[in-house]
Amino acid sequence: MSQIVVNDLHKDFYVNVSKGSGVTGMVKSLFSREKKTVEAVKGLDFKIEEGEMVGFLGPNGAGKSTTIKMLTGILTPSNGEISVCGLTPCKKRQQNAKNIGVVFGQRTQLWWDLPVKESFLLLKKMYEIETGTYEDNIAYFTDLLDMEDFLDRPVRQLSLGQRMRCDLAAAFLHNPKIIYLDEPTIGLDITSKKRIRECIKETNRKRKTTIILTTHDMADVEQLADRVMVINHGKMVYDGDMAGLQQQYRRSRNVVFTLKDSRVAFTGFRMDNQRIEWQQRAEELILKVPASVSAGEMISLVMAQYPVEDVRIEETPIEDIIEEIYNQ
Amino acid sequence: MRKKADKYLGLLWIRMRASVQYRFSFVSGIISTLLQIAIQYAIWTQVFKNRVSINGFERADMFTYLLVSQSLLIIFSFRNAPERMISQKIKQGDIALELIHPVQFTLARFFENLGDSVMNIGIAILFVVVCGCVFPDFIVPKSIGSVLMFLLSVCFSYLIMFFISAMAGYLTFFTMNFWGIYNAKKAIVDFLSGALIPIALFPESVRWIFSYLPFQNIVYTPVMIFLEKYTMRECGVQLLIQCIWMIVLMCLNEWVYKVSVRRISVNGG
Amino acid sequence: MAVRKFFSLYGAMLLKNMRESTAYKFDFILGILAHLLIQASSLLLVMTVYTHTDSMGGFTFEQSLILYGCSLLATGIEEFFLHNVWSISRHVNMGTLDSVLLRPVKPILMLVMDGTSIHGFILGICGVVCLIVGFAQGGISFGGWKCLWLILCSVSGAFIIFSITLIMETLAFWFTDVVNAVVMVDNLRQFVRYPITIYQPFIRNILIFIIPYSFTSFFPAALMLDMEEYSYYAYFTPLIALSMVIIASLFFQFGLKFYHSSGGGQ
Repeated sequence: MSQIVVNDLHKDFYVNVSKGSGVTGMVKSLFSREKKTVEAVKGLDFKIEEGEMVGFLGPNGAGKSTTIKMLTGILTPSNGEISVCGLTPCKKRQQNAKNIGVVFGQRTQLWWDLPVKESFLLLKKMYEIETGTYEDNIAYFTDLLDMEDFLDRPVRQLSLGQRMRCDLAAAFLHNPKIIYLDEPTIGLDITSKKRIRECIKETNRKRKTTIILTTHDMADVEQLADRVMVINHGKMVYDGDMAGLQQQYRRSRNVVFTLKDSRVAFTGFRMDNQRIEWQQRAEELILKVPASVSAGEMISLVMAQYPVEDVRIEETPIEDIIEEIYNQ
Repeated sequence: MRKKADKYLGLLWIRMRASVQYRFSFVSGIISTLLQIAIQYAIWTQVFKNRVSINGFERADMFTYLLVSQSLLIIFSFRNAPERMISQKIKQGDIALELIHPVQFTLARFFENLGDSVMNIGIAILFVVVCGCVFPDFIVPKSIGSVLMFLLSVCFSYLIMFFISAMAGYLTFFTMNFWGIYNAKKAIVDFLSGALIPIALFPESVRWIFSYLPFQNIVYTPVMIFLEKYTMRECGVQLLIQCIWMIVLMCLNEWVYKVSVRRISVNGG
Repeated sequence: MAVRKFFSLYGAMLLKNMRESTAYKFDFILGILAHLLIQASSLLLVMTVYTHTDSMGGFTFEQSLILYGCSLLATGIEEFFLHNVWSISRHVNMGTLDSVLLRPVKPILMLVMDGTSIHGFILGICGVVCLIVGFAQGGISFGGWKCLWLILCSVSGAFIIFSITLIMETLAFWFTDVVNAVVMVDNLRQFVRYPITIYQPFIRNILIFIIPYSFTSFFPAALMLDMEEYSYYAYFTPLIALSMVIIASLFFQFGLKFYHSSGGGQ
């Protein structure tokens, strides 16, 4: 059986709606409040295998955080089934907690006023980690995330980058089978981001830890996700790999030719009865290739007619694809 | 000038609107007050079983004292304590932003607080009026003059209470957390203001301490005026004392404010 | 989790809580002073009342002092060990209950462990002092049996307070402004600092049968004071405490199903 199985998952929220503005609205609110049902998740189905690295994408309000919270057991589904390592998260919360590690980008899981080391020790007791495993992990992650310098300092004195590293180590400390990351690199500088991404990749490779990542940072997705699930309006819009995402949503690509001779002038092109948009600047020639046209064919045709030194194909940037999906 | 007034009134309005959201807290506040009154009433009833009057207070006096002082406490229990607001703003470094605003910091906080208080004031007035009509034991001031002086006294009390809270708020800068100061202030004020026990009931030897502190002017003075325990002349004197304390505290407040601001500027916010 | 490991964890959390509360030293000391002041003013009220009368509800001054001491003791134990139950409504409203739910420890236990407050210790000391003075000045007997039941009732009393607060706090899953309701119910506790004989039967019955705060102070005190009429009830205290804890915990578990977390969808 797959490690994570989700079946027809639903979650509804009941929100208060305030009535009107001005004095009348104020007085009305005094006596009654309206409740509205918001369907945050409207029927999700998916399976995740052990060791996969999955990215959850979707605009704010799409339902990804809600889904993650149901997977971790924080929220109880309104309908549907979840099975994580054979357990129902909201029913067997403590057991599920032992199998997972969570990193929230916005909040720390460590204790604010305690030195990092002491927070780790508390976690050791809490998760009943064996001393041997504990020491090994501490050594491994201190080295991998370069935390030596600030292990003795209270969390409140750390910079965001330092704190995130500690949170990441804390999540891995008890050798969980699954790690959930919610915006792990938000607000970090480039070096921190790199270090954290590498740590995640390493650990996934070495320990086969399943990684589930929620993020708005496309670089995170490109580096850390083999598989991408896009959620919008509470529904799954895409579930597959990055390449497939590009294929499915690609509108057009740019093919950039470097001509051997800058004096050669491009005179336009037609393929399959379509006019191809183009731009030339000295020896650089850019052709905008629509999705329906085969790039390979076009390249061979161009190369047959013009002296080409170099070719490269620019895929539609992920951001554009995602933006397109979000706007649907 | 008009624009400035609008700014402050705007703060008041926002607060007032927000306070409607907390309707539940008002109901609980009233019930809590009723509970306090019930306890005190039960206790003092026991005492008055054997005595007719204590230090000039009769049973009806005591009962009225209880009701009015508790009503005042409703008004003075600032829901979103100025201390907390100020402390929060300091902690979040917002104070730097606030200092840039073309609005006087303390004045702004005052209007915010007033906005919060509007509901409480309404409830307190309602409470006193209802009690006056329902309970035969309740002593109602007999002259309009007393009522007016009472209202004036309450206004002064409000300001005194506000300044004390504001100062406590600025002091939180030095203690980094408002909770300790808030509780300490609450304890001191509750006790020394005559909220729990009329100060007249304390032995002579202790009473002189109270007269040197501003706290008795918050609850004791207005309620005594309400009970018409003072002659006209004495009323005037008490009101004057309130006024003086008000001004003293206002100046003290400004001074503490300036010191805190300087400290913050030095620390870089 | 094994019992030994649990206590090891608890001990570590306790130490951590002590460190956290003393992190802001000046504020901490002020807090203690404030607490002492509040206690002092309450006691002063009692003393002032007794300067004008000899008996309140059939209790002499020393007897009232013992009653007061019992209530302080129960409150002190609750504040020291169990006070973090008050933070539940805040966590639910702000969505910070997440971290608690993600731990491999039952949420209730986690919350209780996370907030040990030294203020409770101070209250407990005040309570003991009141008791000592009361017993000594009143010439009331005290022995092994009474000592045992004092401890039992104080601890049970603490759990009764805890359970009632927990039930109120659990309402936060459905209502937003619950803190006030919690405070309101807690204010009822003030009633039992004084002999419940001074209140109307209506109030007395509420305090015995509906919100059983009387069992945290009055009945244990009656037992200490050998008051025939009431002392018998004190023996029920541990049972009441146990059942209330069970009811409150079940209610909390039920409430968790309705947890919204923050935002409600991202």
